[in-house]
Amino acid sequence: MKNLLSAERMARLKWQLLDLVYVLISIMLALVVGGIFLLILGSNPIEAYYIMFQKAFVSFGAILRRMTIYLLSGLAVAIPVKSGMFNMGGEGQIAAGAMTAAMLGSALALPAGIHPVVCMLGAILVGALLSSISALMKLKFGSSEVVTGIMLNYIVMYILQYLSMYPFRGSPNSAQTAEILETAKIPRLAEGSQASYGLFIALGCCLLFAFIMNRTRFGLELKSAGFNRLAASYQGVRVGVMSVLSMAIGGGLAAMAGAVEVMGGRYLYLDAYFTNYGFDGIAVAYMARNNPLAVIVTAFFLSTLKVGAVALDRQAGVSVYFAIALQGIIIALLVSPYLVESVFNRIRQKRLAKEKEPAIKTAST
Amino acid sequence: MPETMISMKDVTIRFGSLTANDKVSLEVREGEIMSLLGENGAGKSTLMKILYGLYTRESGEIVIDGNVMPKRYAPADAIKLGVSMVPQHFMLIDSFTVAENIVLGEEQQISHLMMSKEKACAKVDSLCERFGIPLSPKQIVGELPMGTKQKVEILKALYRGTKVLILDEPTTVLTPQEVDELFVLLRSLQRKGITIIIITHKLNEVLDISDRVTVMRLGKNMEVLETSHTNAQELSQIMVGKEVSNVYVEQGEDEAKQQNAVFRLVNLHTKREGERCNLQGINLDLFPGKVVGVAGIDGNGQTDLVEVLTGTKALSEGEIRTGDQCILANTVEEMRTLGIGIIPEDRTQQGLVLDLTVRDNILLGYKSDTRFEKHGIINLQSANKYVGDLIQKYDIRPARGNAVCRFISGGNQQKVVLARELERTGLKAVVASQPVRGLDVGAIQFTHSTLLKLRSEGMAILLISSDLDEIKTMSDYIAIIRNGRIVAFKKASDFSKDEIGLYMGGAKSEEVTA
Amino acid sequence: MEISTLISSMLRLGVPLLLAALGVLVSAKAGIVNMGMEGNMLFCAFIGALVTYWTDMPLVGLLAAVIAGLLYSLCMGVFIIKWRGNHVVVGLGFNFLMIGATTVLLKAVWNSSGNSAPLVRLPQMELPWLGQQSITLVIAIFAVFAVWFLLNKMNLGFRIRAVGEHPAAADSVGVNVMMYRFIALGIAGILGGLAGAELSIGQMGYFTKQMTASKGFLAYSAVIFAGYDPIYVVLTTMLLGLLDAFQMRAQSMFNIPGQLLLMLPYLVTLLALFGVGDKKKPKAAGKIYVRGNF
Repeated sequence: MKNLLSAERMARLKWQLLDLVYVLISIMLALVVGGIFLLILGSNPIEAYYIMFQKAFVSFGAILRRMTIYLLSGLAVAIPVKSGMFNMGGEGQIAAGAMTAAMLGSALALPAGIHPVVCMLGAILVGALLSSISALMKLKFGSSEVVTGIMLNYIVMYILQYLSMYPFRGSPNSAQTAEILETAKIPRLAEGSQASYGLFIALGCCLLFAFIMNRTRFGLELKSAGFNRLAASYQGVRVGVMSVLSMAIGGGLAAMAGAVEVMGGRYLYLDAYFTNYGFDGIAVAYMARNNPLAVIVTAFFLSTLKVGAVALDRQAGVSVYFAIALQGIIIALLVSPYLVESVFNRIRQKRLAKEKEPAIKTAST
Repeated sequence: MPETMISMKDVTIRFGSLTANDKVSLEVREGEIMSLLGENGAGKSTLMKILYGLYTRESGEIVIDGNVMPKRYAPADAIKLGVSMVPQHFMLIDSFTVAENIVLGEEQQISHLMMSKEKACAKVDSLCERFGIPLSPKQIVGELPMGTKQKVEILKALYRGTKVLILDEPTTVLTPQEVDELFVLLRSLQRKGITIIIITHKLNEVLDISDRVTVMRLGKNMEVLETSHTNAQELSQIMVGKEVSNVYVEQGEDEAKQQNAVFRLVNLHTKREGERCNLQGINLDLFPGKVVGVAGIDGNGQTDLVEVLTGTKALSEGEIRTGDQCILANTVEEMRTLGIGIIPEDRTQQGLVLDLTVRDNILLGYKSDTRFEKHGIINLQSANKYVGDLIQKYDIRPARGNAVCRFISGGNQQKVVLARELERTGLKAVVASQPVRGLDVGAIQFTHSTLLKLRSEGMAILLISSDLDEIKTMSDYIAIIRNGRIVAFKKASDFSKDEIGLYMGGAKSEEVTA
Repeated sequence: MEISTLISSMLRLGVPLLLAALGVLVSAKAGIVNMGMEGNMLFCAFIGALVTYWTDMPLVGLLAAVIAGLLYSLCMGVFIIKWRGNHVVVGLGFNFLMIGATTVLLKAVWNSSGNSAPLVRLPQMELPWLGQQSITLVIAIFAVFAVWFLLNKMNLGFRIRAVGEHPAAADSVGVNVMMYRFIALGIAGILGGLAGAELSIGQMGYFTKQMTASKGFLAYSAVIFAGYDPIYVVLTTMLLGLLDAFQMRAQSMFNIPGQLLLMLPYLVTLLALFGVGDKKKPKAAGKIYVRGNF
């Protein structure tokens, strides 16, 4: 039986490595395509990439800070996907979570240990509620959660814009809320660093969800509901409940991203500070093949890319939008599994021909 | 002199490590009805899909009506040369009309770009008349019964001026009477000069309809015989390769049903959902140590019955009685606590989550089982050990708990289902729905002997199958389901051969009172 | 609020939506969920603006935009159809790509982060009761009937619908699923090109950063709301246009904060999806078809 255990662990490791290799190949491809784009614009791609990554690493704190957000918004997409739902509402959920944390952070007076927790819980609740709307609409009416998610994004953004402009305005000069109290702040990692201990919260979530997905009944039922609703229901899995729960978790995680950014860095809500993280989360999740552990890698990569792009702007005159364009290429490339898989299939076939397997008869005659 | 219409020589194709066709040859003469006979997994469907252009062969030659076929070609090419295939699962667009389905791909046109619905209907009407097939061109296909849908498929072929008609397991969805109708039609088509190839695994149909039969086994073709010169025994021996001692139930050894039923299904009703036949008053008893076989054509309520017993479809009326308990609300947990194990009809869609491993699939069925789970966290060690034991007991290959179910063979997939369902503690009854569909001989034997072993251990078995032979050989009692009701229930030995067919088709009917 | 100015605005706001929605509709009928319409419109708005800037001839710009749309959608099609990517994520990816690319190019060509240089606009018409509209209005009306005709009367449309409902059945009779899906996407690309061009050279007279402002997504919901019917799509897109027109005026008239009005179209769409669901969706829409799975 020990054999079974170690063989199984080996096999599982192999599958995860396979995912990683696949991710790396796609990243390479995207960088190449991006480089071509740069060439067309007249910049030297090698120089550009070098500056990008070099400058990025100089401001390591900025990378870590962004990574914190990406970890959570990536999970926010990855977990629902495991049960067959697509959480498009990340943008709205992050912003809503941020606003909630900002409001609770400035309006309530609580001791330093409890305050951040309360803000976090409030944010999670709001985010989970938002995503559950999409989930329930899909369940009851069959409406695409993608469309309802997008609609909610806009609705939430506008509501928050309004709130930060009028009723909860904290500053006469711009549409932002008041700064949160000291007790609500999450301490920075080091003096002068941009990143906060929120990073560990985010990393903890990744590990937690990796554990949940692989070692708990909840994770098993979630995955089964995502892969095959019918068979899962035959085993007593409440598929509808799983869908809604996974979306709620997704919404909660996204909201956490916003809350952590407020409590660990911004200390207030201004809508410009929270845009695009939701869509970035989709990229992070898909790059990682929706694997909670791989999300750590892709979150790091994407935030390096984004931070470096800012540097690129100042140095080489290529704007931040190039990073967005690159990201778009990455996503589009990533979801062409056909290409990479056909390569892997060829490798696998060669290996099968070597191995002596008993004749596997498939049911198709 | 009969011309050779189809000639396939030494055709080979491989899927991964499986050689589906190994230097197979086939020769079909013009105007004959040729049966392609073999067990599930013999390679017959694959061979025909190669002929039709859906798969590309690795080697071998194909000549259709004198035309040498290139290595790779598409169905469009085969169609042009007069070859058509009526698939086992109909390729019909439910929301389109009969005429639209028939003309798709070769539409009747007014000008170069526009299509004419009127011309299409007219053409369909004339075809129907010419071949004697009654169809209404404007009907929506989704609303038609199976037998009629099959006629639409055949008409699709006739519309294209087919010369060779391939039918893939055409009788699985038909009543015995509808099968007769189909054969009459085929003979009339033959008289009009059409060559017919029937892919089947049913011996009696081969003997009934075909002129010649080519037998295939395990990817190779074994023999070609004149049907009139052979018989069922010979064919079966060639098909299977050895004397197969059929697993069967000793008939007549039991007494009348004075034994207490372990489960009584009383007046079960379900709500009608869409086009699926709902239960309209099922009364059925299950006895310990006895197999009750439910015979019937697909679509007469079997699916609802299984779902009710699984717990995924709620009863609108009626109850399930066991001992002194009376169940009205049949949830999955409830059914499982009662001790009912389910082997569903479609192992890939209902039985297993293909993308999960063998271990995970088995584990799914053991919710809240403290042996493997504490507070929601899975104890991997004990789970792996348990699964390892099951793999050995059921001889599941590959022998790894982390094998992904999508990549193991149909027979082994079924074994995983069996392992999960039949090893439960407190199991009292097993519901097996089409348990050997799509399996090869070895797997069929294994499944049947497993079920019968359970029977001898006192388990009650409910066997639901559209394969009459299976029902007849395996059952102590036979119940016939039609339109959501049990229309006959007798000891297996008390039924005559035709009687079952008649009940299935509705020509005979006796309401069963429990 | 004068009715005629309201209607005039409604048309101006609704016409690009209508064209985009028709594009999404044709894609959907063929089984493709076209989330990339947003990028389509943005890209073509840019190309239309660019070519008009170079040639001072808006009609040439329009043509260029249409060709650009065709190329864009065929490119996206390769990822979705040939390489079996997930429709939604590929579409979003292309959207991002276009947001980034057009903004970078905006800087590169006009050295601006906001507007391009002013451009010559498409010929305008002065209509009674309908105010000033560009000729795209006429093109749009024609497009509605063209799409209806395509889907209901033409061979091509019939096959497109077949491919969206049951690609395996179509494949089995020799209908080339890939090809017809590409054609449908190409048509969508052309329609998206018209929509984008209308935005930059038909209405505004210059190209602005991210000027599509999520019209692509609204178009998608307009299609669902319309039950995938080309005639009803006119109603739903005009309704959205009306809401948009109303919102602009209501801001000043009723003293309601701008944001709450800006979110009206999205709110209405959300509420509409309550209970409407997506029942008329072509059966195979969004599913990846792999040949040979019989």
